[in-house]
Amino acid sequence: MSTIDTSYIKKGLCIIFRDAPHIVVEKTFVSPGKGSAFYRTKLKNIKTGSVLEFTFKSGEKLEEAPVEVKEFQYSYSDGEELFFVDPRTYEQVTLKKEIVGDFFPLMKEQDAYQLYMLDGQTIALRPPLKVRLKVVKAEPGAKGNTVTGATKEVELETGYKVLVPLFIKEGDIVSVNVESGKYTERVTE
Amino acid sequence: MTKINKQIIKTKANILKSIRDFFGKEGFLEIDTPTLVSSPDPSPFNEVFKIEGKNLYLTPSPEFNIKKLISLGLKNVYQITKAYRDWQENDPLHLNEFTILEWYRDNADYSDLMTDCENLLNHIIKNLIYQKRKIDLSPPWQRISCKEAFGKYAQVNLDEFFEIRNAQRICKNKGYQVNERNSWEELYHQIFLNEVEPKLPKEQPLILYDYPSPLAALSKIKDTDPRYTERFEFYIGGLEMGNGYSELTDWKEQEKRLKADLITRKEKGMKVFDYDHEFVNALKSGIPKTAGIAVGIDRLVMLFTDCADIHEVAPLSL
Repeated sequence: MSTIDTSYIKKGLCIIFRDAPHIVVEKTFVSPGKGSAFYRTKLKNIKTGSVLEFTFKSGEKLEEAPVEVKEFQYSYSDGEELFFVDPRTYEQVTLKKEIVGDFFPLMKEQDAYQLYMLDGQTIALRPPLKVRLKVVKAEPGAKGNTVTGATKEVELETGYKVLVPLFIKEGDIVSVNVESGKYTERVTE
Repeated sequence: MTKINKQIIKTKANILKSIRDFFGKEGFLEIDTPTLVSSPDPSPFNEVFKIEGKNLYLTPSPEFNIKKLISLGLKNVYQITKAYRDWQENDPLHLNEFTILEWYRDNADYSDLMTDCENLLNHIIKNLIYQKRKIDLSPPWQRISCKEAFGKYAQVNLDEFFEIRNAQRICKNKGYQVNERNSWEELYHQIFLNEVEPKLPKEQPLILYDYPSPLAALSKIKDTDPRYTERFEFYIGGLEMGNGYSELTDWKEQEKRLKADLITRKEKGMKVFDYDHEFVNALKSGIPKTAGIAVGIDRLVMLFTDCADIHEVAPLSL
């Protein structure tokens, strides 16, 4: 368990809010007219499932929930549930797809992910800051769209489509920011 | 590249045309002032873009320049221009570069501007559906003071909230995190954002008026109660669309606020520069009683195209 700053709040994080563990399901930066920065969040109570909205002042201190974080290997999804396996014990656990939300299209089978555990139950996936994925489809030597001239859309190995600079080619590994869903850099192998 | 929705481009063009048409009929003069300035508005809530290697900035608002022209004797003016603010994080309601409409009505106060807002919006459109909510724009719009709103929705007596110790106590009792570094404005806005703004009616436009004086910006303090200021914002479908006020014409008070803003900027580690002496001199030379307002054109486009994210209505923007 650690103390974090509001700048660290992100979707999927488990925090203690009003003495109960909550998952951050939504977070947006808010700046009122003639006012300081705030973070508007939607928090889901892990135990009761109820969702509430709360707006934090920038710089408020929060406690990460004292939930266990355990690494599992992602096997597959049946469309509703995601199946994971503990690579040491071969224990299998599941997580509802809706809990993973926007992160699902960035998930790669056989990759390791951290899951939050509470009383032996999986409750959520702790999303990484960035993922590295291979480009499987890119227009060769594309001039890009003539309107922007700077980017083109490519398909990554998980099927996720993302805008990248023109120099990216098939086979490149690129890094995607999980929160924004946007390309950040080419990862040189 | 994300696909560009041509309808959004056309809607924006229609809105701009309709605004010009409205102000033409009202006898207003369209003016054009520079967006490249040497002394931008020092509000500590907006960071500015600086031109590398030069003491020049992209203006966060045309207000100072417009008031300089008003001091020369131009009356009833409006401007549609670009303004720039360097937001530290991405959010669905702000762009770094946005289109702003400002108008200044001569011999008027903020209540005249409220009427202008009703008339302007009704000139553009009468009804709309935004985020599944039908909104009737016909006047009169509901008007509620900040004091009424805090009392009604947050059970806070704003008159008692002004004293920082009281504000800290009220916030603590409500369960908010409070520490000595929190400014009064942060405590005010935490209650506003958590308990007031979400409950403001969204089925019709709403005017929130008489802001507390610590949030005066460039507005005139109320003669009848110096704790409040003749400033208002209007909301449509829960979106804040514009911010207007009876203009502060007292140059001494204005200079004092500019200097205080610059000190706050320095403390917060923001860009600092000299304040706009020409602007203060313009007020010194005398500026008639005026009321002025800024309206975000991109927010209007969001409203009319039913978009929840402002970036959708600003294609090609970075």
